[in-house]
Amino acid sequence: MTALHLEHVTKVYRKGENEVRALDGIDIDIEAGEFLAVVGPSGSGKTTLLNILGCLDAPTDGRIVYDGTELRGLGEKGMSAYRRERISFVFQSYNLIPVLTVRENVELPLLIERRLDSREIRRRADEMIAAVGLSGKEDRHPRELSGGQEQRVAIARALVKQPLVILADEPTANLDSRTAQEIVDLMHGINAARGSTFVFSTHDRLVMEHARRVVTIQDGRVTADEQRNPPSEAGK
Amino acid sequence: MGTLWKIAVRNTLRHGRRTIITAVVMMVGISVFISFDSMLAGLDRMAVDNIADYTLSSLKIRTPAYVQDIQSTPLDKGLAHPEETLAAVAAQGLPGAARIRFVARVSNYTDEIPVLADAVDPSADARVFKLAQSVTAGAWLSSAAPRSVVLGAELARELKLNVGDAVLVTAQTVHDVTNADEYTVAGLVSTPVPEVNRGGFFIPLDDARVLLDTPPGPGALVTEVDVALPRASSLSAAIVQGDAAARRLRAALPGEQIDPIGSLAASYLALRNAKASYALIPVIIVLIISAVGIVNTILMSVYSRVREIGVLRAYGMTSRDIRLLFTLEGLALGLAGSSLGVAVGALLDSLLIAGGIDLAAFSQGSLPISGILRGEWNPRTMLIGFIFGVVVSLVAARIPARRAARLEPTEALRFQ
Ligand SMILES: Nc1ncnc2c1ncn2[C@@H]1O[C@H](COP(=O)(O)OP(=O)(O)O)[C@@H](O)[C@H]1O
Ligand SMILES: [Mg+2]
Repeated sequence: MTALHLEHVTKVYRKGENEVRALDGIDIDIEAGEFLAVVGPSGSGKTTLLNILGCLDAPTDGRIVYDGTELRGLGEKGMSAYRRERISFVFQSYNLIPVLTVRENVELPLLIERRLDSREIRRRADEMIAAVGLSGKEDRHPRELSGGQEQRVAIARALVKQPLVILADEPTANLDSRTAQEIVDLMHGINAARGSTFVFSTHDRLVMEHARRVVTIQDGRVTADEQRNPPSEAGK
Repeated sequence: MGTLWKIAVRNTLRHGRRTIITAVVMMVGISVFISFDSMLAGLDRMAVDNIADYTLSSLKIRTPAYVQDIQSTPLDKGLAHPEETLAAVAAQGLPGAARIRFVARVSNYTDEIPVLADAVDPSADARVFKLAQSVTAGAWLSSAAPRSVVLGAELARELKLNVGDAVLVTAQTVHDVTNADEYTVAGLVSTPVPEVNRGGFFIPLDDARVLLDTPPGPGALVTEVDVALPRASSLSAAIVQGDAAARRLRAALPGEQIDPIGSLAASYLALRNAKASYALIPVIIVLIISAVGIVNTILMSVYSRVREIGVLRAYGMTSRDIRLLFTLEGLALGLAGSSLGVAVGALLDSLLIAGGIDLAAFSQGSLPISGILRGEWNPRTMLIGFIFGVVVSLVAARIPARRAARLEPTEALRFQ
């Protein structure tokens, strides 16, 4: 099933006289359950692409079909509502809310969504905290955690509402290579176990190697789109 | 909303120093407002109590014609049936005293000073006014010592008169003939009302009637009956009580003009409103400062959390939610500052009420009143101060809250 269908997606930033074509006619289909890496040099358009996939920004041209429906001209409110229900994000600098505990951070998407009662919200949050291996740290604050642990919490936060897609913009760029490895392994494990769709950007070769599909973009264009057999899956 | 409130309150607590400084500025503004108002109310209370105790009484009964012509202190417009008037007052269970006001000149045979004299019933007057208790030398008037007078202490000093000295009193009789007689100074009064000390002159009714050449006995001249009311718990309660007593007496004495303390002290009370608005000026300045503090505090909060705003937007909060989040921070600050302000205001109130301020320490008799100024409880003012503080915070928070709401999620997330 196609989770995201992109047709000729273009994004142009205008700065006075200057025009930056951050995305220049992107065509891709992303299937549900994929574990996809977007790679490319700095300034190639990775963040712009993920923002558009995440409904944070609208393309200048082209169309995107989310899970069979086309979102167009939704306006700020409609885009917020769509993000609230269907999209999760993991960020390079974790971006946990410092005044909230681990559990409260993980609960946050569900609290914003306002669909479940507080007991169910808590149950799900604790389940996700356990899934990322942080049981026992529910009541800690982000400042008491290491970078790797913070990113685990961010992943739990992204998973708690069972989104259409989890978008992770350079999720390991702030971590040392061993921790980066652990985080990618964690995401990969969740992808395998729960079938969650991951799209992440990176320019870390090590991280790239774990992806089953690698889309390379350069100057806003897709220059390569290859299926791979990541080493961790070879043994299975 | 619950989540937003949680985040807002925790952020307010997290930036402890910023929050404390802002809240303290607000606290100062609101507590000054409250204690100032308490002091003003106390000052009013004191002034009106003094009016009731030493000059005008709590309620006056005169004829309408007399009040009309009050500037000339007429002697031909007295009460028609003074005994009935006094009986009606007594029937209400209230102490009343008959008086005649007349213009006189007091002389020590060398110098002469004009005064507004009060002819009083020595024993009844002592139940209505506190003059008898204010005698600092000699004694209050008594029927046992006829042809005696009591003077304000300042007046006596000016005329170099002492207890036991002879004093010459001149007045126009009811027939408009000048008459004079000699009396003995029985006592001197020193009251909290400088006006009484400087110009008070009291003479027994019987002696005055002789001087004014008006017959004694039933129906003898009385220009006013003064009535005392029990001490009320506050100024406004005193006014309400006075109005109620006036209504009852008007029913019993339909022909007379009955003025309770609220009308007697009207000019003084009108002055108070002017005073009260001046007192607000420093308070408004302090609250403007705290509004600026709140704008600044929340702006800093917005700028230090731009990426957090981006995350909340990415997870589906609308720009309205973001605006609400920072408005709630303003509200949290406002509630903290206002609560502190009311608490400190109440503390200052209680100090003002328990201890009071000795006005003599501040002015050498230049104030129209003297004695110990005590504050009054002012729950209404506390409520107004609290609400005002909260409203100011909410209004101040709008500026940074709108700025936060205008941030684009993509911009906010890119912010380093
Ligand atoms: N808000 C913006 N305004 C103007 N130009 C932008 C904006 N965001 C990104 N760009 C430009 O678009 C191009 C792609 O940027 P980006 O998507 O951030 O690349 P990457 O994430 O691969 O480093 C860059 O040239 C960048 O300068
Ligand atoms: Mg980028």
